[in-house]
Amino acid sequence: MNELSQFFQFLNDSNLGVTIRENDYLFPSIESLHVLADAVVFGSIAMVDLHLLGLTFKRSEFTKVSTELLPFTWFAFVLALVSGVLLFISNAVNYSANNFFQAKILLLLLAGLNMMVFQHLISKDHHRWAQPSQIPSSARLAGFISLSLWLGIILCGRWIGFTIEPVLVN
Amino acid sequence: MRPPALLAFCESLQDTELSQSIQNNSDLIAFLQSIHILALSVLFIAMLVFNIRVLREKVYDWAYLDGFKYNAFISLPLLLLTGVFLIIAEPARSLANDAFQLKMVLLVLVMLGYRYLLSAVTSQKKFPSANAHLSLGLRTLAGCSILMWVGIIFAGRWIAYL
Repeated sequence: MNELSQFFQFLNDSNLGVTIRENDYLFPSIESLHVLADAVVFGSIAMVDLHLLGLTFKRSEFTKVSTELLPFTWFAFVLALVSGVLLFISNAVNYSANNFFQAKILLLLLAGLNMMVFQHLISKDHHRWAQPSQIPSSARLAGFISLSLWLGIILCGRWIGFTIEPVLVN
Repeated sequence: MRPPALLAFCESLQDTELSQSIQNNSDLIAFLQSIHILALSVLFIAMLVFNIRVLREKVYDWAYLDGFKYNAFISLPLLLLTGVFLIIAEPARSLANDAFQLKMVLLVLVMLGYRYLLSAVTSQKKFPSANAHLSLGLRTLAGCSILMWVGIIFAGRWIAYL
């Protein structure tokens, strides 16, 4: 644990961390990019989840919806990850100690796990889901869990901004 | 742009009971902001897919495209409602803020552009399959709409910094 704290302090004090933190434009610009990427990740996942729940794209098959939207999800996820790491480096000590940040990371891991279960176990026969009514209840449950987890991720992300301790510049 | 009349309006709005009660509850502001971001995400991806399809002239799959329109129409009222409450909570921080004003201008432009594109694209319904031919002007408008959506999200975040 102590080594981890030292590592966060190292990131905090690194040239990159200081540059992002102390530049008037860099942090807001990276943060804007992070919000943009998050919007694409959440928006695309929410649409697929709402389709699994039978609420949208009622006349389209699952494969069509997921094939169109998932490339957006993955591209934006990489962007969100890179921008998120840069934001973290700028205030690593305080982010790592923030409860909402910790909850966000935990929810992200759970969302990833849910996606893996869906991908490898539940959606094996997705080519048979020609109509939303043919989507099995296990897939609907995965969609509901995914939507709930992503709602939690966005809520935690917003609360970080209200609770994070700023780094005081000497 | 901060005309005195606007600042006076912000001040009077800020003193209302509703504004005071939202201001004094930071959890409520964070909650409203979260719902605002969620609605924006769904609307943004619906618009992004629609505009990319216009750019690629892939606008023949009507039942499927209607799904995106449905998502956009569901999220827009939620976006506007939470946005109004956020303005009431912190009127000066929003209405008198350059980034907010830019965001609103872009939002109006992008919705007018969407309405125009939608009517132009709907006229392609007479083509039975992938034979839609959209003019360079329409495709340019779709490209500009994507850029304006990116601008809306960036301006939204910059409200906190200006």
